[in-house]
Amino acid sequence: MIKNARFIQQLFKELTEWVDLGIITSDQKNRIENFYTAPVSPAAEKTPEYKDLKNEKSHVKENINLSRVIIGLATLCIAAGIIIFYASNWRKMPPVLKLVQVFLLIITLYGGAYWFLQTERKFSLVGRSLLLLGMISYGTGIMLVAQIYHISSHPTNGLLAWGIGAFAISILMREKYGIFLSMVLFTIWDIWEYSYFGNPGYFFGLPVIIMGWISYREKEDKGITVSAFLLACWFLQIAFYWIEHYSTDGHAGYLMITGFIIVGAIMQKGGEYLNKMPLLNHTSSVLFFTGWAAYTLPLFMIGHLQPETSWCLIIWASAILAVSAILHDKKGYYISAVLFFIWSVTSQSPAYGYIIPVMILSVLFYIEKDDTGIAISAVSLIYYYYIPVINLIPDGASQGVQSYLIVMLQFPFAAFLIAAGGILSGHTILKSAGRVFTVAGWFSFLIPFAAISWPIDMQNLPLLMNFGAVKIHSAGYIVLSLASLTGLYLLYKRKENLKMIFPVILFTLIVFFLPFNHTATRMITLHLAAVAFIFLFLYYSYSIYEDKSFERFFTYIFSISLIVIKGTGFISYSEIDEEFKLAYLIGFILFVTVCFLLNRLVYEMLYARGKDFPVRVIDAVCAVAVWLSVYLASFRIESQKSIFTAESIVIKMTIIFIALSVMLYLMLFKKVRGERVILYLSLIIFISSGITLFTAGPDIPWEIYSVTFNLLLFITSSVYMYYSTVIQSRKILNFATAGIILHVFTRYFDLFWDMFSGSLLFIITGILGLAGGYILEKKRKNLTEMIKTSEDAIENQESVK
Amino acid sequence: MKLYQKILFPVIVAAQIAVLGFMITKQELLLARGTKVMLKCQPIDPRSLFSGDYVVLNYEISLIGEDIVSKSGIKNSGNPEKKDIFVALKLKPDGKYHGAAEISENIDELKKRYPLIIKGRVEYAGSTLQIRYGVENYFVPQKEGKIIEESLKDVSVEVSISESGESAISRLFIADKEIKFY
Repeated sequence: MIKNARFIQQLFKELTEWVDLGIITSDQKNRIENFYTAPVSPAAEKTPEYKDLKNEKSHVKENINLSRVIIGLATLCIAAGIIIFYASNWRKMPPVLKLVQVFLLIITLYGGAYWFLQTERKFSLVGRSLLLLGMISYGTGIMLVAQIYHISSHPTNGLLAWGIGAFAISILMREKYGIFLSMVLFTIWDIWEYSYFGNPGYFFGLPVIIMGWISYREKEDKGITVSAFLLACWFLQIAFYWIEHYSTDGHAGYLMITGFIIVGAIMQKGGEYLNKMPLLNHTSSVLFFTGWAAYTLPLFMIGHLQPETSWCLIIWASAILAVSAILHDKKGYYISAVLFFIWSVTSQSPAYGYIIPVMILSVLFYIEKDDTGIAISAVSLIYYYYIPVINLIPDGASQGVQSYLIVMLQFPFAAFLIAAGGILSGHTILKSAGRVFTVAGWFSFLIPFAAISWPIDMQNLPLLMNFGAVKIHSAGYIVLSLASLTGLYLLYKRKENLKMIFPVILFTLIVFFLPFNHTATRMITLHLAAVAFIFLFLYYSYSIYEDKSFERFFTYIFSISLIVIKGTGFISYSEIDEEFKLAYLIGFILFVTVCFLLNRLVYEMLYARGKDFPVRVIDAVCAVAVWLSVYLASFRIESQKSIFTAESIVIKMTIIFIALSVMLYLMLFKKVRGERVILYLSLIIFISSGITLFTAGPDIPWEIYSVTFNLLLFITSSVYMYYSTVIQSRKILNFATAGIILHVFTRYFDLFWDMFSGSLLFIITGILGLAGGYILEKKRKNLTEMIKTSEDAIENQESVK
Repeated sequence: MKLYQKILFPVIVAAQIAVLGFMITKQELLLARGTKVMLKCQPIDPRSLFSGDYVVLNYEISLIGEDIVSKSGIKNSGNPEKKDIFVALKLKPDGKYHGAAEISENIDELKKRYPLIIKGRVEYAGSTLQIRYGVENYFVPQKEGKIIEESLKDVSVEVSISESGESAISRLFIADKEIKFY
């Protein structure tokens, strides 16, 4: 009785529709289902086949339904067209006419949907798309009224009205995309209301619960997960609102703390329970995480409670600690650790005493040989380090001095943590602490590069080298550096590989003696160090450390976050400082070029030593980064200043990076085997943006930049398309295609079209698409048959082979 | 379609149209029946002026001065930020524009002394109050906001105010000349 799996799947889908249409009853539906699923004979080998069908639903490759794709795209086009048309506020049409038009549009679209969905089930796709367009036009109507009457008070009301209307009709017609649309609207409404109008958003839960319930009934996995996630956000939002408004010192506050803990516990239990149910496993994880979040909620209340509470906390925590030490209960240790931490945060005077409970707990965890506990102690120690660092900053020091000191002290602290982590990771009990130190150390090392590698004026900041007002911090710097040197010596004695640790410590020592308040010194040192470390980390993490080590992972974190952070910085500067817009964008291209070349160099060097290196990761990041800068530079950019009128540091940095790139190009072109096309592409971008950088000036018309960068953008996308065929990568092909589409679209709007003609373009394309889809939909049966037979033919051929 | 869908579908569509109709009627009634008041616009930083397709208008009454705030005692009852507030209007000595006379969180209290009251929402509360009335955005056809932006010193707006303090823009003037975009 078991037929082909795809047929049964299709049949089950149709069955549900037949029940909805009243062709058969649900009893009949069940009987048909049973007929196909129940094993006819006790022949056991046939049962698993059906089970597989349900489990492997996602594995069965779905036929791509062409008419569905076309109708979907057409709907999107028309929706965009309608919205843009009214947004363009076309002045040749009087407002009354526009209003009449919108009313007619709503009635026509909904009427069409009603007619299609009711009479001709076969073409229900067109009906569904008209239904969605009806919802869009209703929203457009609301926006149009706001536009005509210049309504700007409480704009969220319009969103809410739109959301409710779309939601009601979507629920009625079980229109999945309509429900998602209204969820997006409700979410925007909720965030806006909460953040701007200070409304707790109790109502938001209602549609989310309805959506969750319907998704559960329809067995829509995604719908259930989305509603679970939104419900979790809703819960946290309300919790924060309550904390903000009702948490006071005294009974209300304590009740709320207890309440959050209880709710958290219930959520965790619920999460465990739901985990067993097949449709709800994502929901269970959401619930589980929300439970954890609920546990931490009391932390946010601290600010609203009185400082006297901190003494209660110490007593409370110590009591729990004492009792659990007697009873040997590890859970009690965790709770008291958290409470002591809360105390240290809330305490009004600097919580130097925090070290005592931390040490006691560490000893207890050590005795218990508890990995998690030792890791917690390690985190507490790292946190404790910042208490004196922050509190010993001289009174009256400005915000700038504070953050500068904290950032600068990251260098020796990172070196110390990395060395300590290296030593401890060999220890049988303390290895989890070693791991925490290593991870924290490497991340601390990243911070200064992200924080102070910008041309900020730091002229008035104290120099560590001079001791002066920041004596304690200078001494701390020295002590930590010496400690890390000791660690280095211990590691050396254990014959461990020091190639990644040593440069960090060396750089830390050098930084102490450099005048970092001098912008040029700081910028040049940090940038050169950044690219040098990217190179070292990439090279050594793959030549020393084995697969899946943290060092390899961190290498990517370090390089990618530096590219992302620098990119965000450069692009924001280019938005703010419009006269040097191009210079900033090209500056970023230079930085990325150097990173890209280093990555390639590491690849070649490791290849020569017979080691494998995943060169494409950083390649891809660089490709996206460069594409983005070229894209941003391809817009209309006017009246640029010459780079030679900029501050001297900019010119210095530019020259250094150009020199670096040239050097790397020379090295690479000597070494490289195959795959030269990407190198040539980067060279083209490098040279042409370099030329633009130096020739840009007030007299150059914008068309020159525009032509240069549009051409570059087009070349980039095309080269990637070509490259994708060389290395047979579908992903790259898709990205390149998306790039070209985005490029063409923006150019259309940017240079040739205004909003009004753009909207017409969209609407006409959409209507043509809808009509095409309608015809295709009519022929769908034939088409699917054809695809199916051809697929079967292919399958048969393959099986013959 | 099932029977309940057949019936409820038109009902929901009618409800959506009713919502639009309600919005329009409300504004039309406000414009027709409300008292017309002239408000003077303040020049503001021209860079943040024109964003997208509407002009941001800032009125003289958008900023309530220290004297009025302290007289009202509004800050005694907690931080007024994000709350509704009522502003009593009176004709200024120039006999043309209206300015703020007094503020309160209670409309009835002001009604006893002033005939014209406009409702707003406190955006920012320092020693002065920054208030939004919901008449700050003037929508214009794409790329045509420049006219208003360039002559903002001379812009004034006729606002229609209802009994309950709701307001709506009815006309916009540049140097006493009405500007129409349609």
